[in-house]
Amino acid sequence: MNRSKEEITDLIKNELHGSPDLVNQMLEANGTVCELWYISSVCDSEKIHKDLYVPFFEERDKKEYEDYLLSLSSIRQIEDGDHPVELLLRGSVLIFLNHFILTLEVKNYLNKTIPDTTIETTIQGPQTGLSEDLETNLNIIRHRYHQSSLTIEDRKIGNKSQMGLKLLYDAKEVDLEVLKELHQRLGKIDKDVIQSVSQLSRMITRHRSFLFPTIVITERPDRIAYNLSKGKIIVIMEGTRFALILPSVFYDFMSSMDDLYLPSWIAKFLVILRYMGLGTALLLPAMYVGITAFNPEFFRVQLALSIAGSRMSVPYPAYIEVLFMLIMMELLTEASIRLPKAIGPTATTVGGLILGQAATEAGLVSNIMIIIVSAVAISNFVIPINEMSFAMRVTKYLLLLLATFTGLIGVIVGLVGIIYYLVSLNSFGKPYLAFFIDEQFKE
Amino acid sequence: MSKRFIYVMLILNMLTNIVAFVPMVLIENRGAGSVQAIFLAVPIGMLIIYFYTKYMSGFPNLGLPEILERYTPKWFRFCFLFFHGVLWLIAGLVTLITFTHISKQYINPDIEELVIVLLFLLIIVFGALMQSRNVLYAIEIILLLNLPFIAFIIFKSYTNQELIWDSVRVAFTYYQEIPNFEIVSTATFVYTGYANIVIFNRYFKDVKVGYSIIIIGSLGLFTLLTTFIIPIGIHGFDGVGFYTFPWIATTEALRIELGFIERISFLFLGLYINISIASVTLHWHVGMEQLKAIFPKFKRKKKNITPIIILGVFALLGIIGVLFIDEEMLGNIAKVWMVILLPAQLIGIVILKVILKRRDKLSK
Repeated sequence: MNRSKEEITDLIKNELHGSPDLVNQMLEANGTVCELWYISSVCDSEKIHKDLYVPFFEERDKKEYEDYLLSLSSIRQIEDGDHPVELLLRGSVLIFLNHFILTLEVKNYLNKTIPDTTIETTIQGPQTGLSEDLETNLNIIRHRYHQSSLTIEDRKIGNKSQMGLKLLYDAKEVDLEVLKELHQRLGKIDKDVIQSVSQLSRMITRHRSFLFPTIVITERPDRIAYNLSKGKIIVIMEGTRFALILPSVFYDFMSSMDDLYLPSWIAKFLVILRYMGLGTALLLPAMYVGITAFNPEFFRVQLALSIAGSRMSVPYPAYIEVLFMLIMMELLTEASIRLPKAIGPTATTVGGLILGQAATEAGLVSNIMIIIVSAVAISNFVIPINEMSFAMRVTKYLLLLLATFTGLIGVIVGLVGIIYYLVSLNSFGKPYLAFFIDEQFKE
Repeated sequence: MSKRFIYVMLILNMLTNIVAFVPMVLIENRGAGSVQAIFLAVPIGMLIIYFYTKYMSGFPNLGLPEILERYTPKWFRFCFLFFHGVLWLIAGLVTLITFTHISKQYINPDIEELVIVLLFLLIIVFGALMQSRNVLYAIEIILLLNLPFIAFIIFKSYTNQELIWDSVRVAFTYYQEIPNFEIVSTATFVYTGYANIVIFNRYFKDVKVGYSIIIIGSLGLFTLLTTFIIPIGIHGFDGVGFYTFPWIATTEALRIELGFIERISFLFLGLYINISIASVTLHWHVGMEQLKAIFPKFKRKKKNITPIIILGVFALLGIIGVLFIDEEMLGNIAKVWMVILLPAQLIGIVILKVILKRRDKLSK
């Protein structure tokens, strides 16, 4: 210990002079003097009171109090590497007693509640998600994954925000190359404030994945535990109730935890349903344009006629009709995210029912178009991981563009293009899309 | 990597034969030895695959460019890889040009061929620039997505009421005709998918096919017979001669009675755009990799841009081909290519064997 008390207190006073919640208290009894420093807004004052104040006046001499303090759990002497101001900011209390300089963590994290899962819900699986507190999350994960090989690494991220970050993995299963790569990429981040894991995931993925996510973001502890057992790395961060799972492949984004909880045939059916939903959401608008504008003979006569009949009153080409309705639908979706919860249902009623009805009656869009748009909207949300469904929302416009200019050829070529693009992506050196991906991972 | 990919490449080539002028040649010569050629092609193809994969397994994790670099003189390596590269380039080129013509004629007559070919090239060049591993993954996915539908089409065509088996019988009465070399060489095309291992062997330790050669052989036979029988059965022994693309005309004659798509030809064309793109990507990737090995490296911003230059030249040739080569000329190019195909494969095997012997001598 080569820093003196004065040095430290000066440093604290100097750096924290603008913080009125900084508490500096001298305790004196029976000739013992003890000085406490802490920031009241991040500390649990009840704990300080119970653990530090009360015993101080109960013990008879200073030796006894010293022994008591040193026996407290998680108390330690300050070390050279510690930055006293940072300790205070993270909810520790500094104790100057005789020649000892001690620090005790009494962090009080208010946002500790464990909420229900709201984004990836399952029907009969576990219902609670992660909390916004790192220790609580660790507790949740430890309770789901009882393995001695579960390794936890601490890091801090963001030059200014200095958010706590934990990397979790099963040391027996983890792929060391992925881990090395992750360390490297985390080290390269140079940003002042990082607030959420999704922002973090942007920074550790290569710029090539500008549309499709290559890291799963989840709020489900069961998904975390499952992925830990499969050798993946979990990143949790202070202040967000989501975790990153890496490396991830395309299929991860299409799987729900329900797939593990349901009988296998039902689960398979649901997976197939999801892929059908994906196909519908991506292809339907583009196919509609391709077929009505370029190749009406694609369908059998009856169907072609009924589509043409329904489009009779529509005064403009198919692509405008599609674009118009799709943009309306996107606006509706976006509005229902941003709207205060109380007015949400109104917007959907007005937008969905009334607008759709009126638009067909006014002859602006065909009835079949309304069906297509609704089908697209519904099936888009079948994709379990939110980020992927957003990516697909954008992708369908690319296909629509191709269809507008080159018809059905464009749609097919676009589809092959998407496959090529997805295959060319990788998540931390692992192939992102391949048909039998498990086998590729084993190599 | 799994050996499965060898089958993927083989099956892809079997499917591509329809756009690669194999049916045209076979049907043109339906009275002049096609039947024998088909049955001759099976053992020839099987033997070539067997020996090539056997010899190739002698060089685990090495592609042909690396093998030649180690064991042969420079001039030989240059000539051989250049020849191979051009062979693969033309394979892709023929498929690409044929398919652009087909797309224009049968799907979208309103669009300029230039637009169509640019669209194809955009995807193909992107695909061919991917890592070799990813090219395999991509073609596997495309193949697995398409196979069920292709199986459906084949099922539909065999169970079609209008298929006249008598015409097929007429065709088989010519079984005594001795085929010329061109027909046999063309018929072996369905077995040439294995040849792509000249590059992909970099990922394989062992590419021996073993007894599954029988499965490959029978799959190839089935493909050849289907290619030959169905158009003849649908259009009649004489009528089939009138078409440039007999298979597309054939699928035009098939219909799904109860589906919401009535005409199979649309399904067929859609599937074949996929198959053709995958096939051209594979061929051009392999061609590019071989040419890359012999050309000097051009660097820009520390990145080797030789592959981009090579594929750029390929693409340019593709555009020129689409604009200036008509079907007849393309057919002639394809025929010449097919004639070279069989000798080229045999030369490849002999060279590998010679290198293997030399290597064994050296190691002793």
